[in-house]
Amino acid sequence: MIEFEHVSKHYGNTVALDDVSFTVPDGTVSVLIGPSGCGKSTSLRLVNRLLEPNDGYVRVDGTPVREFPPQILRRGIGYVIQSVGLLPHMTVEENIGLVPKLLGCDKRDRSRRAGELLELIGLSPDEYRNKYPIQLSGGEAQRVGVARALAANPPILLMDEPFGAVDPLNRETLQQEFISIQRKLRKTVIFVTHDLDEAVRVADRIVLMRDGNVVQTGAPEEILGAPANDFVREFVGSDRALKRLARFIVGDFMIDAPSVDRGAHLDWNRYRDFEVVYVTDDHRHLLGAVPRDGRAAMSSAEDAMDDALVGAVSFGSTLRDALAEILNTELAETPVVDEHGHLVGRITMAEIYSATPRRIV
Amino acid sequence: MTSRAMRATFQIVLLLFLLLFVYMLDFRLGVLRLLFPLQRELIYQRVTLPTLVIQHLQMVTISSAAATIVGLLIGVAVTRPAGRDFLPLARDLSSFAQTFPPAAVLALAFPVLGFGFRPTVAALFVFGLLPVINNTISGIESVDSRIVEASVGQGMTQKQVLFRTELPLSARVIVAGIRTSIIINIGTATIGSTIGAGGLGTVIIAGLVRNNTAFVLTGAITAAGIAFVVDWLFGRIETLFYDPRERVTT
Ligand SMILES: Nc1ncnc2c1ncn2[C@@H]1O[C@H](COP(=O)(O)OP(=O)(O)OP(=O)(O)O)[C@@H](O)[C@H]1O
Ligand SMILES: [Mg+2]
Repeated sequence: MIEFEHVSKHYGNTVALDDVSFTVPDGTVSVLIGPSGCGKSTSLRLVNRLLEPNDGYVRVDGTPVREFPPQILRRGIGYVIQSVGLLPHMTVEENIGLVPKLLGCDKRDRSRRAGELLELIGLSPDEYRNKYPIQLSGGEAQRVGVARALAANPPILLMDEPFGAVDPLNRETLQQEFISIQRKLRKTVIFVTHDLDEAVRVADRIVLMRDGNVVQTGAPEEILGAPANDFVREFVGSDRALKRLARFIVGDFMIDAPSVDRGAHLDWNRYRDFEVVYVTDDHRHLLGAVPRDGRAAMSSAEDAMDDALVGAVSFGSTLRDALAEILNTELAETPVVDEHGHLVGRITMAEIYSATPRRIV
Repeated sequence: MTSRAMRATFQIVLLLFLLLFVYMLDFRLGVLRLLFPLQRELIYQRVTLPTLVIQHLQMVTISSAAATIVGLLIGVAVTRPAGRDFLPLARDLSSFAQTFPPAAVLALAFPVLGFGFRPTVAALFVFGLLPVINNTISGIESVDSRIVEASVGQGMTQKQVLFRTELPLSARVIVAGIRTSIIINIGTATIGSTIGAGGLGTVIIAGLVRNNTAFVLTGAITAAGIAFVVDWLFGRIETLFYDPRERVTT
């Protein structure tokens, strides 16, 4: 657990943090977000004592960080910074082995550990071990930065705009990977970003800051659903309801989808309550959809179906993706498939609404 | 032939020429006779050329080694948090002093330090210090502050940051400073003979006094040859270190 307790920090006359308090529970990700210069990086650096507060306490597991010798503290805290954190004169393996080496691990162990971590972050150890940072793409370098922070298996990670220098497409991949790694490792993470979508994706809690103050803290869906004031409302944007949908997983909201085997005759009398019936093969792979006003008179479901209507979302994606998919098709709903393409359910506008807070239902 | 191979060939020829010129009397005689057919006295008799070379190299080696060590220490000291206050002073002083012509340094040194080998070495040391200090400072300063922060953030001690991050990343610039320092000193040491320090300047001055261009050239060719060889050697040494432009050690 990391606690900020009435922390203030100034640089000369600049007040960077003014009486800031918040808590990061064990095994969760707290995202610090806010306009440039609001004190996000300063907060992060107070945790690993790259800076000392002028007032207040920063505690790790109850102990003020100032009671730890800085080097010892830092070796137990993974630190990832934007783009250039890797040492350019060291190979990927040497970079990852940096903290283990400082901790006195021998070369064989470091090499084995580097291999494990490269696997974890999805880079082939044989291919990447001996490369230099300049030989990596931006996304690969960021992955190695994360691997290095994890190398000594620290319980805490500090990440300062870790994916800031990566193009949007790669950034999303990195976020997904980070989320799945975090699901496995359960680190206590403070994550700084400028990007609200990123915050909504990775955060368990968001700490929204402005001019050295904490404006609102809460789960992303809370902040997006109930902004505390005008600043927050403006910061999260008028599309906050849409952004909020990204917090909900399709698998948690989907309902049963009516389906027929492709060889079977489609009898609409059995599907009176449905606008769409889905067509699958014998292994329940989704093949297409038949809308109610479609070519109902055809002999088999396969002949009747419109395979232009096969768009689907995976059950692990978000309601935001589902909504986008619904808007993409001519149907008012989208089928949901598992990772093998098997039909597992569907999402309609009713499910989307059910996740959206509204005063009048 | 690639330009690289051409350069290597040229350097080997130069080295061979230098060795033959210094150590084979007949070869030197042949070269000088070709250049100065009318000159009767072609070989300086009082001290042999190899002896002068050794004296010369002694002065340069001692002064440059000391300059390198002290320059590095000063450069590192003023880039530490505790020494930061002296950084502008060190930088200004060494930049200013480098605009001095080498001859002026000696001219200033000898009234204070007197005649002979030691004062010359002392003057060369002072002059050789400047490029080392300058390059050590700018080398360390040019290391990306975010890389230093990452190193500190991973839990390196100050000493580890210096030896594992700052020095490896600035080694090339620092070696370039040492190279400049030595090359300057090889040239400046010839002027040292005016205050009786021996070395290759001896034969040059003898030539100037007696109006014997062959003597002058003997000293000049040898000193220039040594400078070339040392320069080439250090050029090779530099490539052993991390190159910020390639960002990869070769
Ligand atoms: N070393 C420093 N010296 C003086 N002022 C500083 C220093 N570092 C930061 N500041 C100031 O403190 C304030 C907070 O800076 P900080 O770097 O924490 O902001 P940030 O939220 O990380 O901003 P960004 O999103 O741009 O990275 C800013 O006003 C900044 O100008
Ligand atoms: Mg910042």
